Amino acid sequence: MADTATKAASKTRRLAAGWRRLRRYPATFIGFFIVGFFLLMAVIGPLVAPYGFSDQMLSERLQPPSRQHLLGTDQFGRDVFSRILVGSRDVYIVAGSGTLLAVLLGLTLGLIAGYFGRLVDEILMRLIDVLLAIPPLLLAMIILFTLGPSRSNVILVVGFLYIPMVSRVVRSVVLDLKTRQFVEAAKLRGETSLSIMFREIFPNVLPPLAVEASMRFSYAIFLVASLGFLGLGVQPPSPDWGLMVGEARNYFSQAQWALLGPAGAVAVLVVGVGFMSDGLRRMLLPGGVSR
Amino acid sequence: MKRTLVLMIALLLSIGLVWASGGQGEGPTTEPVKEGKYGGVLRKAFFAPNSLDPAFSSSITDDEIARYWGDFLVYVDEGLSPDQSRSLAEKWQVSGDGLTWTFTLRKGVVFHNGVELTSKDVKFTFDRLRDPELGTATVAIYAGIDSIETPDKYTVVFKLNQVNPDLLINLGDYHTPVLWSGIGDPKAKQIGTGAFMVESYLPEDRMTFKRNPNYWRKDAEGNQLPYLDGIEFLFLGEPSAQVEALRGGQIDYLSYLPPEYVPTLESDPNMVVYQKPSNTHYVIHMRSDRKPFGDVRVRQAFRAAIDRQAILDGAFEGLGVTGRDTPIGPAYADFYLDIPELPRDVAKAKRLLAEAGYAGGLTVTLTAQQLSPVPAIATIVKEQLAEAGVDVEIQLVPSDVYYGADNLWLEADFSITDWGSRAVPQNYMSLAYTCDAKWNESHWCDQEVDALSAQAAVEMDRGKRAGIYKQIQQIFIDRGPILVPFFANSLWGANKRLKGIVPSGYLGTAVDLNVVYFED
Repeated sequence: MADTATKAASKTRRLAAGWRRLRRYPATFIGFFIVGFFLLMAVIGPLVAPYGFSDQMLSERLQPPSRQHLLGTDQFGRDVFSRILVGSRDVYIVAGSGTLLAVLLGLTLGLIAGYFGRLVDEILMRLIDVLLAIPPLLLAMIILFTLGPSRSNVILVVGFLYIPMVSRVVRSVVLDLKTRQFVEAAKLRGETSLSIMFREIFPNVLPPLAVEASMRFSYAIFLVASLGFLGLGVQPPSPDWGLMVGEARNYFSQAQWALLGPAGAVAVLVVGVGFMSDGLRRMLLPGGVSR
Repeated sequence: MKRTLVLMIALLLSIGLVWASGGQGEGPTTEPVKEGKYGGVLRKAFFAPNSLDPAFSSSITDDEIARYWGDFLVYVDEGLSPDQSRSLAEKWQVSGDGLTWTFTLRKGVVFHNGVELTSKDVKFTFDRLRDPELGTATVAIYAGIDSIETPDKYTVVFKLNQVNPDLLINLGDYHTPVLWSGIGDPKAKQIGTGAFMVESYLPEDRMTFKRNPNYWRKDAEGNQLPYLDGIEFLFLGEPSAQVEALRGGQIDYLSYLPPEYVPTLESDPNMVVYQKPSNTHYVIHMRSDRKPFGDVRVRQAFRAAIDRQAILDGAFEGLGVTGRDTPIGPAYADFYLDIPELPRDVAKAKRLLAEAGYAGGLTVTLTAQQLSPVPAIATIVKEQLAEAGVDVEIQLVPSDVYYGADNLWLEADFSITDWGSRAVPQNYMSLAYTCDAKWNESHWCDQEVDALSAQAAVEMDRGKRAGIYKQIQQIFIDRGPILVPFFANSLWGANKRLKGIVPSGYLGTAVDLNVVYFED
């Protein structure tokens, strides 16, 4: 009992220390705010957007930003601001699910490779090296051309592409952890490898994993936007940010806002997630993590 | 902190890049040696060619390049008529029964290798295009030719198995630049009688041409053509890159200008935009041999639900005329059935859909290629049909998939196909709208249309022919399988120093560059 109390107290202390560290870096709050804002929009966007995301007002094509249209209109007279708000849902669903998938698969592979070591590690890591050797966007395009472009396939691609990075981080942490005493103790207690991996090691992998996941998320946003820009995976009139940039590109000299709006949204969200990920790192991994 | 800094820099850089890409770059300016209209190298850009053998021309670039080095037995002019003054045939005549056409060639026309053009070369060229073993798409066009005879050096006789009012136009088809009969493989080298000779070819990069000093054509004052010293054709795969190259001064001329760039170029004092109404149109076909479009009421409902002017404005900057859901447009003058456009009537569309059993709505997939302005058309059509209770799912595919091995365009229920401007309406009928047409994408089979089309194909009297085409158009309007929102203008962009451009209503490539020149 007392043990639990101390644990809880130390946890509180750790979090408090983390909080103190955080306050020195206001960028983290900006990051959390940006991520939170777009997350909120992902949920309630269609309710608060001033116009429907696919509503065409052909008489109001390519209007510059104004009070009626905060970020102007595109070539179909659609409100760019509304499309960005509504489009954030897709960003979170596609990039988020993709990241989650990568984390789950990468975690499993990393745990197995790190824990068993030797031949298993060797085989898995070399396979992952192969995956790393191909430029990610190229690989994504090849997969999408083969599987056929659809939203669920984009999620699969993101998940697949980021397995190597996640599993390497997990593996390096596991390599460090598996020589620790609590793992030795668990082995002596006769726990199965599965139980050691998931009950003893996994909780300690979580902090670096959370940081890694947030970083992957920012990469995933960019990748999904790139694929959308190339017209892979999303179909018009979807308010996908990348697709919006692609559609607006030909109109750039007439209507810069239609391109800068969604491009800016991608940039802001990626930077926001980056700030957030930085903050998480400071909060959860004060000593830094070996990568 | 370091990462934060890096992120900030990345953000600033990306913003900078976006601005920079919109700005105007200054290209290297070459000072051509000029003397009156003569001199200067025309630089242009477009996609890389598919085939340098004109028999297999399938892309805009293929056609354009062949026009530089080749001449036509019959030249189709800017108004879709044969022009003797620019043809290799000095004159032609047809026998009383319409089955024997005799062409007299110009004397003294020489190929780039110095060999004189004779009837043998003409026969060689057209026999090649008729050869089923070569496997070109032109075999069907020339199926009506029985034999080609060469009684002497300068006479070519085409014997037909049935009369053909479009023969001259067909002989001026874009596959037909006359080849030197000793050419060997026309893919490897291009030897014609054209105004420009191939100088160098770097695949996927550029092709350069120099002036043919022995060219046979003269201008109105008797000066030898062409005026230009040569042509440099850059292969750029992106319309936006092509337009930026034009604005930046790296190139002088662009055909098939995407409509969304017209306002930009028009506001640029150094640029000129040329336009000409054409029969280029975007067919939205409704596959009529199965559900749901097998029911004429569904097709009529779709016809009532779309707003053609809105599609023209939204997808093509309003640069064209609205269609009547037939492939025959106002560019064909007296062949065109000039009736008012069907007004948009959403209530009628809903009623027709309900009668056809789709009162609860209908979901269809619209297959569209990623080729401007097709996605824009699809996007607008989707919104318009939504108001009539039709849920359209857009499936965008690259053009090479759309026309690829699986022939998606011939299989899809509902899809958008770009149809170029042909010189005569009969081509559309025999290619796409008769029961056994090779490209019958809408799978439409209407006995009455088949009979009328066969009649028009051999009707030598233009007035009677116009009457038949008008009947066909009325059938398209009553029960046809396609939506044709608009007929697009052909668009060109050029540096204002480039003069003498006469826009053509035939093809965007069919601008006579032999008379084009730079002004000092």
